[in-house]
Amino acid sequence: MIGFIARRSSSAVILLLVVSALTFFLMDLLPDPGQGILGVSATDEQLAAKRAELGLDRPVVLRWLDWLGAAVRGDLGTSWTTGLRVSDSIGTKLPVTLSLTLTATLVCAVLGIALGLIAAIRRGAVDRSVHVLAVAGFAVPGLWVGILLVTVFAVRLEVLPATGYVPLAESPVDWARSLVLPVATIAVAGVAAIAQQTRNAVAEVLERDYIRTLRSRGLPARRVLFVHVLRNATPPALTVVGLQFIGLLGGALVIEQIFALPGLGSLAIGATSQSDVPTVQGVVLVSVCVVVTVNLAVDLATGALDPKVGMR
Amino acid sequence: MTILGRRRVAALATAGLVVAAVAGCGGSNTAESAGGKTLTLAAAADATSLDPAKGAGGNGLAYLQPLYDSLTTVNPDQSVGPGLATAWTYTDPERRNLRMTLREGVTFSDGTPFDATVVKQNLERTAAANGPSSFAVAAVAGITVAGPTVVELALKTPDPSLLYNFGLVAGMMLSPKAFGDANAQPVGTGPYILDAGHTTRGDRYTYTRNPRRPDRTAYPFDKIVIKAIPDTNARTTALLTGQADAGLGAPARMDAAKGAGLTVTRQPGQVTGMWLVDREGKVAPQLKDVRVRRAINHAIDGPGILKAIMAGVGSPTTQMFAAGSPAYDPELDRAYPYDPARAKQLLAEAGLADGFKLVLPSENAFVPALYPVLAEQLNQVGIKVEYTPVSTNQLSQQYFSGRFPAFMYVWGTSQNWIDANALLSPAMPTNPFKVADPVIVDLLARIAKSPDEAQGPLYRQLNTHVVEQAWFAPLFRGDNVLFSAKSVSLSNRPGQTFMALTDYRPAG
Repeated sequence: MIGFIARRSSSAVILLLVVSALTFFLMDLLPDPGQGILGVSATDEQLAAKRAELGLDRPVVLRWLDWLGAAVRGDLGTSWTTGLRVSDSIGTKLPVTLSLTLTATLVCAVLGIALGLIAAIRRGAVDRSVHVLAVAGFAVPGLWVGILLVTVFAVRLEVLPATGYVPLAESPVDWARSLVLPVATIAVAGVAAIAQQTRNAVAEVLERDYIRTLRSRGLPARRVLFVHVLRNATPPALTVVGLQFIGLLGGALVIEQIFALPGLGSLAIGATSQSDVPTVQGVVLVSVCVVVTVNLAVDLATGALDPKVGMR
Repeated sequence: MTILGRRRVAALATAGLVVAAVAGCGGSNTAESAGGKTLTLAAAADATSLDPAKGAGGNGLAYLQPLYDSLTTVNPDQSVGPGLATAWTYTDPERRNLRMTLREGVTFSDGTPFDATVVKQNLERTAAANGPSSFAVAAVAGITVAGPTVVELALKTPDPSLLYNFGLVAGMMLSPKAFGDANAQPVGTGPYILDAGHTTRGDRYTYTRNPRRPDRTAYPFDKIVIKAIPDTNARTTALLTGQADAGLGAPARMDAAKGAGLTVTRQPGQVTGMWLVDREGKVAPQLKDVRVRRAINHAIDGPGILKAIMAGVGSPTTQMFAAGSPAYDPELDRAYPYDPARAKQLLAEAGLADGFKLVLPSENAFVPALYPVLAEQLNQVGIKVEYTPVSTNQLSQQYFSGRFPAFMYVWGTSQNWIDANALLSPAMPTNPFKVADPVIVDLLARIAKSPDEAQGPLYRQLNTHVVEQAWFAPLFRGDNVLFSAKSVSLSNRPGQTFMALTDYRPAG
């Protein structure tokens, strides 16, 4: 398994190099960010001085290598617009995005797996209702759900905050309250996906011969379900959960805007619109690291649950 | 009010574009907190830097005003009043030597005394920083400390916007002891100090009273909180649910705001219009002919577009200078009524009876809904528009690179010199083809050397000439819509486009 982790890590490094280079070169296609930084009142001399200050008069490959050299030493540079250290900005934004995505993933996984299980076991009307709910969850755009939830619970009923984020350390209760609406918005579609996947996987396992054999040997239904069925049905569900988490990192962009959550998504939008290359690079780097880590964790968990999955 | 659009406007904002900014910061919360009244503002963009040498005006101003005093103050009518400088005078008829007398007995929140040496250090630092406000001191050639409270500035060229800009970020004074890391630990003479423990950059900024500056009359609030909420819908919701006391709201939700008991204030904002920048016909030869530029003005139905696309939130105009400013002439707004027949006639006189093809950029930030209407209206008089989409990130860079003969842009300040210089001077990047009209160049030079009271007639002459020459095809001046809680009173006057922190007071 150590070999497996080592191989995965080295391919992760290559991925990081490729993605960071791609981002860097794409950002470079944008014209001079000087005017964005200095404003339209800047003179031509000031624009030229800004270009020199940012090193934009040097070839892009050299600039990328410089950035890479510093990044390897843990120095992500300083934002071109806010003057803040990129690592500090990410340090304050990452907890927001992780609070949102991890909580949402957890809620989706627990509810989705529970619903999927019930649907697969009970079948009939329950199964059909879950199916309808799942399709509806897929079909309704998250953006619309978010706006609807805000209108009902924040504007009309005034029971939950409409926008903003409270750090966990400041007030756990307010932290939870600030996450309820964004997490619910995500969960509508997320629960549906996981419920469908779990339901299908469990239903398939339930029809296997060995389950019939276990039952015929008089094992308690509960034991059959939770030890044998679930163990075999979990890997596909886990894969969906992992994918969902990764999708959420991207989706956080939209959710963070609607609920004014100061996370990585908001940071990325602001930085991209202002051609703030160091910040964009930092956000991309951290996002890729998170994605790679989650993928690895899902693979390891799948392997632990299912010995047939080779760790090679 | 697309997210990126507003943000872009803000990012590009010059000192005069404070409308959105300061409006976005306005408000007051009469909710009694531990120490007294708190003012919670919802801002349309995050702060750039808290160091004035690196900080932007526009949306950035709101974050800096609590911390710093400026050398001058900008009055609601755009005139300049005393600030840290109590008096000033140009000592030569060319207006290239400015002597400023400074307020005595002022100290920074760290105890450092404020004097002429500090002014010199700050202005030199701003010039060297090459930040968003450095343009404002570009004309300054040398600074002399003539006494503890007297500072003299020698200018390369006369600059009629210098004292105005000194009322904004460029004139904000930072304690020399804080020069090292003012972005994290800003120290000014302002009425408030940053509460770093309750500030999260990119999200919320908290300011508490400066114990050295107990001015409860001008600044009745004990605490100022500014929340950065770039998304217009999220910001509007925050205002509707009382999470913030004042800020720019979505014009489409004005009725909802009134229904929720908020006060809706409309302030004239920026001009949406076409910049016919290729006035010498380098990319589109047809635009060299003033009759063609006039035809375009007649061909576009500004009032109709304002009504259809912007729900009428604004006022039609055919001039770039702000209503109520010295350059403004209400007569000029009648210069180009919507008249396709007249447009066709003008094109025929220019030898273009069969029309011509015009390549324009289109974008998704400012006014995306406008492009099909514009193409249709120009097509009706024979001008076939071909759009090249430009990404939001690249707007100003592409527009001011000389690639396009004309483009639709949202612009507007309330300071005439800033507008005149940026829009008309052949030296500025915002005049991408560097067109030098002798009448304009002459008028700009004369305005620069004139005392304030003599500038008005010259500005109107300049404005009239620009409208006659049809350098632009303005459509309308949109309104900024400010939502504020009933607990706040705004000292907003008709035509006022500039709101300072002092304009917000607890109601009743």
